[in-house]
Amino acid sequence: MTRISLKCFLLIFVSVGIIPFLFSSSTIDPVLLPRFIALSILTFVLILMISISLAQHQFRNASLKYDAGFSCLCHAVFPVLIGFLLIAALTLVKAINFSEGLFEWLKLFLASAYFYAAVLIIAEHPQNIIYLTRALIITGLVLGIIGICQYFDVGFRFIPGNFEMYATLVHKNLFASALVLLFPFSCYGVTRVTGFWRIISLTSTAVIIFCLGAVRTRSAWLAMSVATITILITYFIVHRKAKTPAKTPKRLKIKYFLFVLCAGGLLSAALFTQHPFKLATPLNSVESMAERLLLWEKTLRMVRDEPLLGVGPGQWKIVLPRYGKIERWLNDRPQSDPAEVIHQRPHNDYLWIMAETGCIGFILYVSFFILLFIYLGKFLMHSSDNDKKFAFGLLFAITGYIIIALFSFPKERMVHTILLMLIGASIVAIRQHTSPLQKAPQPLFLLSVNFILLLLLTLCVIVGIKRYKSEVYTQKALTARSIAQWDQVISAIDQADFRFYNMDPVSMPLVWYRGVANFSLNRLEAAFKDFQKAQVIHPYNIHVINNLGVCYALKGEYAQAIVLYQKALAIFPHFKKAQTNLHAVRSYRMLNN
Amino acid sequence: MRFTTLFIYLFIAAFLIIGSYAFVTPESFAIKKSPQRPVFSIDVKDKALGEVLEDISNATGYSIILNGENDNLSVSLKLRNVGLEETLKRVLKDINYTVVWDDFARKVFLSVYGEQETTVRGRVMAPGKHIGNAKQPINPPGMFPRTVPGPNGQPIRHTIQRGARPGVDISGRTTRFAQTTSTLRQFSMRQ
Repeated sequence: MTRISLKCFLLIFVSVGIIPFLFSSSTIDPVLLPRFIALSILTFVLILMISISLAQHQFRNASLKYDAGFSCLCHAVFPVLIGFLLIAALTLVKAINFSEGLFEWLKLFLASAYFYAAVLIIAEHPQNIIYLTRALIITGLVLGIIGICQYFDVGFRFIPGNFEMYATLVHKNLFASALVLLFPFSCYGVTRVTGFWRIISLTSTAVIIFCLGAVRTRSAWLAMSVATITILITYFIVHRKAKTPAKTPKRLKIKYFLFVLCAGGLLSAALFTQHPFKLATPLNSVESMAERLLLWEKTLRMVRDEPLLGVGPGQWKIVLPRYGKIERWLNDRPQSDPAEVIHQRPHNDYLWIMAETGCIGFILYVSFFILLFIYLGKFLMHSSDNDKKFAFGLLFAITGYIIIALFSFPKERMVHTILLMLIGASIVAIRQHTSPLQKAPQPLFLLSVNFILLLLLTLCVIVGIKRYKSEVYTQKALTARSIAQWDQVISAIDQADFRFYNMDPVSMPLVWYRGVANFSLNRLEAAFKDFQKAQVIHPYNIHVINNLGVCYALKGEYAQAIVLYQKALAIFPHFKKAQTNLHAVRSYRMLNN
Repeated sequence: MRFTTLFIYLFIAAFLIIGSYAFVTPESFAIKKSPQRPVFSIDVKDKALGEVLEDISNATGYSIILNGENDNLSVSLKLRNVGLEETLKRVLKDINYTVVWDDFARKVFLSVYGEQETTVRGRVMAPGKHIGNAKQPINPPGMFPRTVPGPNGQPIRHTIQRGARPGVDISGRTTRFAQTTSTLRQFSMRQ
């Protein structure tokens, strides 16, 4: 076995061994921004290292017979990704809220840049895939153990999250979907490696199966089922084409049988154990599905209105109320008033992409997955049995991701993005190893590309850090708001950087919170200015519109106030506050005329 | 009749008169003094809301001032000897509305916001309910939106003061906001 290169070690260790376990107690979303910053720094360092080796290569004037890594860049998947990024950048002109749009675009860019670096590094040597697989097996095992400890309340409860058993993924559904992506690597480890690593792989597989059973996420179960069926169908197709009998060695069969028995036993233990905590909605509940259908219907209407360029990256959550607010209250605490749900994602990545970047962006996004499937298909037709096992694992993972993306939002989360890009990079790498492309881009061209990437990655780091700091202040403001300390709310919001972060993770403009604080302190003029700014940031938020209307009414501009209340009621006809305010203003005008 | 007997009769009469006044509460006294709302009958079928309200106005002598979206709203109703308040409740039963009574000026201020259980572009559901259970009607703010409960739980009528600022208020001051499939740390609001 060859020694692992520094680049490969950094790629695997940081992205699989550190980033999935990063979280912050100071931010509202405990994981998104810390992981975004970490991934930006990692990608920056990796591309810098690649650039340095490229420059050395150029300086030595060596003939540019690149190693496998560089010729990978001629695969069609890269032009598709570049096209997608360009379209997404173009759609930024449609953005209502540019800072949210910029952050969303930077996330897409970061994922693409990471993919670029991962392909170059993984394709350097076939052994790198083995290192990556081992790291993913360990990650799956550790995440699973954390989840189990949370499930039985024996530890790791200090990690922030919703619904028990979320490990470090902050929500059980995200935890389950990450496990689906990690599962095939553990299975591959069981069949491919020996000795200590086989024991680790078996344990990891059992733990993942246990967690997937206990966490009760239907989309994850569906993803597992569809991926398994896809594997079986592909398996028989591949063997029929190759005219070899599809059989499994007897020795392995017994092991698998014992393993399935153990996993099944653990699973039933999980399902029938009296769980001490409240779990999420029951399995037979159709409410979340009905809500998703409603979100998808509105998203499709958004697409119909803006089919070519969409509404702009990161704008779905802002434009959604224009199609009517979906009222939902969350009774998550018995001693509190229910929380008002503000929808942030359509829970379908494809519709999300289509709504935000238009049909062209959607076609390019889907093309990325189609190309990966084509590479896998071609690889499966022309590879040895051992390589085929890994390819089947990748097929399972990519199918699982595609199914999860139909019901969830993996593209938003950093860990899922990392896993997808590592899976994609592995597919490109194995494809390159079996049928390498002979051509390769010029090193000077690559150096120029890397220079642009480094500049944009610097922007990612800056934006990430600015947003992180602003979110820390916003959290302080929200804590002060919860105890009605209005002066503290104002001072905390004042410290946030509105250029890069002007809305909190539930899409409430930061200046709206300041406006409420000013209004509560009877500073009407300051509140009025804040609500005006808030309306520019989020013109369809009913609380922004209503509160601006209140300020107009108190300033004596009743006609303007009535227009705003009517706008709020057009978005949400059952908005009682706006109804009462509209009625009060109208009655007042009638009595005083 | 002897003076003593006459005195006793007069004393009892005075006692009854004073006593009857003593048992009347200020509120009931006020009701006695306030104008009585008329009772009337109505029989309409598929008639426009505006026309029905005009008929009611003509029959009762109350001016009904209507605001809001009332296009395409038709009413079918048959009532005998009912009060104005009950009639309005029946007429507006499928609509989101608010009403303010000005009995002294014999005026009714009516604001209409459209039919219940429909939104402009989507379905809604009641607070505390999940999507899919949208059948529960969402009540309008109340017949007397400027009414607050009194000490005994009975409503006390507030009249809108001429010249004062309109009684508007901001929303979301203490509302907790959440995501579906929440990835956030939760905050609890002060009750």
